Amino acid sequence: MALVKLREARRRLPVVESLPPGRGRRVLPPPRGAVQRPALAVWEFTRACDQRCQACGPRAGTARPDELTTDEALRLVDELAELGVGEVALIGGEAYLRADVLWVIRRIRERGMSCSLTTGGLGLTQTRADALVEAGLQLVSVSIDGLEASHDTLRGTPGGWRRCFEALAHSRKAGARIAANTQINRLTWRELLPLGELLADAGAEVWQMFLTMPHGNAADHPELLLQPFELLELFPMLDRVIARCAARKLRFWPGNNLGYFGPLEGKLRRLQQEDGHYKGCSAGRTGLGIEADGTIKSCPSVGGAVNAGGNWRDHGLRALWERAPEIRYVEQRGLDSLWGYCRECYYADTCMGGCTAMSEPLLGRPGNNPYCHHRALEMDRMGLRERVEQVAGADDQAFAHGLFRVVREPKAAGAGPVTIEGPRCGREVAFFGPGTPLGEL
Amino acid sequence: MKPCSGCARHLRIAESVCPFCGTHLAEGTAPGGWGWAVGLALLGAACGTDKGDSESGDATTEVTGSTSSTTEGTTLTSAPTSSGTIGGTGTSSGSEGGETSTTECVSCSSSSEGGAFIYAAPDMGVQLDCDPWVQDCPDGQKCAPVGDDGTLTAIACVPAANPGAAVGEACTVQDQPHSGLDDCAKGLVCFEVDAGTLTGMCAALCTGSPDAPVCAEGTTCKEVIGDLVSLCL
Repeated sequence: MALVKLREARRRLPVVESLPPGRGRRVLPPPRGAVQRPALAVWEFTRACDQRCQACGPRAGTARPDELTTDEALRLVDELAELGVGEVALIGGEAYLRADVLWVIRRIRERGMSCSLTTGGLGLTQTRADALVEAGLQLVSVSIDGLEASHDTLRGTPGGWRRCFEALAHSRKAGARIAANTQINRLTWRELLPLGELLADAGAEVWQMFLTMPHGNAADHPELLLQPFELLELFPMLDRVIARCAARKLRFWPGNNLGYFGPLEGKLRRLQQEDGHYKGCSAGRTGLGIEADGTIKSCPSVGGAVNAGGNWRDHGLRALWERAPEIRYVEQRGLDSLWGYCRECYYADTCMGGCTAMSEPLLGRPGNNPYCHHRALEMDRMGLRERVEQVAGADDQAFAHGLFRVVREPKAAGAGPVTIEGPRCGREVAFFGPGTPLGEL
Repeated sequence: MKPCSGCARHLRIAESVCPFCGTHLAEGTAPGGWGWAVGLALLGAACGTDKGDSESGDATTEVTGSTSSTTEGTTLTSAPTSSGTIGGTGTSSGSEGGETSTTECVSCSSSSEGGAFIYAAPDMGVQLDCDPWVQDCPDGQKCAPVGDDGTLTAIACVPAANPGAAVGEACTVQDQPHSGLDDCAKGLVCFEVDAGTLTGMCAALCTGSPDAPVCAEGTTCKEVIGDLVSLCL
């Protein structure tokens, strides 16, 4: 059934000699006082998926109720172009499970935007890859989490890892540029070097990696998370990974929750950021997220009402981007929204507590983030270390999260905790500010 | 911010001593970073004004000294802070192995300020088909930057004129200022191209590596587009 639909969608796609190159993610600074335009829109095209991954944020599998129709999607593309978006990254679920994605890709390109796809790769056959690239898709990034055993365990699909490399080959043969993205967690973190060699052999140009975040399905698997003190082992390893990537001409690309401000920061971000360092959460600043039902949010990796500006169907895109408080949050918050260690950190007003998608699902609200290399180094300098313990589980909603507490303890084994930093009330209770502790859980 | 020459940690520009390792720091502005399209603009046109605060996206704030925080009865001493202005604008890009060059252009795009949104595909940036540092293209071709409408799109193998114009000689570019199709010899690019006449002057690409660049005597390796394109000027 799906194959017939793909064939029909492909047949109805006009043949063109060429398409505009696409603006990519480079943006002009906004006029003073104006809202920065989003360079990147990350669009969950459908939540339907052919896998059930242990760390999936949206808990993908079945489509959301009332996902955008083809016509609505095409109109949203037009609004993205009018807003000034440079690139649309299609994600899911699996975007290729909807054959009308071909028409959406074509419209994205016709409107002068670049178009990329992040995929689990399981069903990215040569036919599909050819159709996607023919429509105008320029880049395919396949999610590959470690070596074969780890990946197949995390993704729950025997043989899936091999299919990922087939997906890379299919995409490359179809004419797309290829990349990979990898989650760093307890299963994968010691497999990065050999995985990098395989990706370079496969012709991947860029390799993005990021820490597994405790939301969605991953909230049900807290055992996957690295502990904050383990960043002290991870980052020297990343130093070797970066060197090896350079030797293999594989561009290392750190995700926004990987950092911050340790001695490796410059090497980590030299190809990504001017001045070579993290500049704070980008949610609602240079990018936005779109859910399959038209919900517009500040970032593709967050969820829930506190991060959703509203629905495109009700308000249109520009109004939400420019005025929805949930999307403007990162831009408008101040230092008083930091709490715990982050409030007093040397890097407080540049870092602002790091990635919202990492800290909010952990401690209930952003502004305090133990997953920080600088923080781990400072703890170590003081003879301490931090680890997280889950104190509440998550419900079954997309991007749902539980709650954790941060235990600060001496490095020496056997000694009791020095402090325990519990979670705080969410932003649905106190939108700005440091929030208040939730007490015993 | 600027990296400490001792421990590589990023520091406020006003710091004279690294609060993390104690290294005494040289005075001066931050080496800054580089921007893809900013550098390419230097190949085609003159740019002149400083980067504004808005380009960095960081508000400039005063930081008051604060040396400790207390969490539930335990005093933690964070690294010494100092009053100063964060978010100072970098005014030049730097190659670790060479002198800095200025990459300022009001009409140019900033770099990828958004970093890497998780779940999105990585930013592919410029397509790298060859290495301009080692000129690894087939015979008859040279590795050169190629752009489109002022934006660098690739580092690619393009036809190399033989014998081609030498360093300092006049050159002509085909089609548009950033086509990469010029009459400079292998290892050279047509620099400071006039958009109207499509003429410029041949300049040598640095050889060696970004960490150990090599240039002819009397010239210095200057980053034009990060460590992808550096010229001996």
